[in-house]
Amino acid sequence: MVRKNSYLGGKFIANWIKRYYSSLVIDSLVDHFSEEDVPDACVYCDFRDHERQTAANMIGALTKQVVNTLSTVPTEIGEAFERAEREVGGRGLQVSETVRLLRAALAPVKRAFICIDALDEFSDKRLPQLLASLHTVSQTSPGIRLFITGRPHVRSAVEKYLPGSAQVIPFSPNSDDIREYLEMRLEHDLDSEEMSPALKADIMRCIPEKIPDVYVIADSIPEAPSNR
Amino acid sequence: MDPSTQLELNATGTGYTNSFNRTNTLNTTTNTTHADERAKVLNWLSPLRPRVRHEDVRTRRQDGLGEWFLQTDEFLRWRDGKGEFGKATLFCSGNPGVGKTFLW
Repeated sequence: MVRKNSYLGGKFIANWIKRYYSSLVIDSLVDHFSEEDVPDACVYCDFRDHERQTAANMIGALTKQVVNTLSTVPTEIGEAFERAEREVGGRGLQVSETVRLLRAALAPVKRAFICIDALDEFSDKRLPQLLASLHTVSQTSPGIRLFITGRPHVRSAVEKYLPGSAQVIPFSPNSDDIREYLEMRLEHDLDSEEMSPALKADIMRCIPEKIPDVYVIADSIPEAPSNR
Repeated sequence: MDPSTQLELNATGTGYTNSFNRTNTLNTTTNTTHADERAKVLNWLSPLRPRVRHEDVRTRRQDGLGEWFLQTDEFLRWRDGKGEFGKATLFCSGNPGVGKTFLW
């Protein structure tokens, strides 16, 4: 029954679709710039992973992906790694260092894309540090373009810490997106034979119509387990 | 290029050499060693593995779903850098007037 509830969980659908779009954007950039050396890097914020998702780790994860597209590890990063290794037990990175290293990684490239998914799921306490770090990087690397998704309450933080550089677009997955998502889930459900045609029809009819209402209700419903 | 030199000094002199040359002096360099050294640097940069999450999401995508968004003027201007430099960031959010009733 839990699995069936996942169809009806507006929060689940919302989370899935917003990640869907981030993933779609990243791959479209890779395809569009396949003939050029244009690095792309992404991070997916997750409220269940606040302990590891520090600003330093997030910026470091972006740096890691950019470095991975380069033929050589930039000298500044290699040297910083060696210095850290020489310390007993190794030394973790501070956010200011990760910013410096990301800038070093981006130095050889003319343009790059950075995608931050679900910024609203990032720790509120650490959000200013993350956004300020991204602002520093974007100011010193003019070819960098940031794609950020998030729910409305983080908009003010984005506008505050990325002053003047953010274009905000209201976004709503259209009803076709929701219907196609539901059709896909129903089609791939191994237990679909247990579901009557009438119930399937009801799902396809009701969910797209009711999704805003469901979303309000579903905010207080535990998210159904997914395959993630 | 010889794969064993991939992580060594590049033509512009900006490459990283130190830890990788240590193995060269012993004539024991292998591609695996270089890959290991590179992996160590990458792991040190962050324990997070966002590409794993990305691969998970993308395998569950459906052809055509959401393609309309990639054709919007806002997205194309942002991607192609046709806007002013100041608009380097595209923030996609739910309509502030809708709040939690909004799908996203």
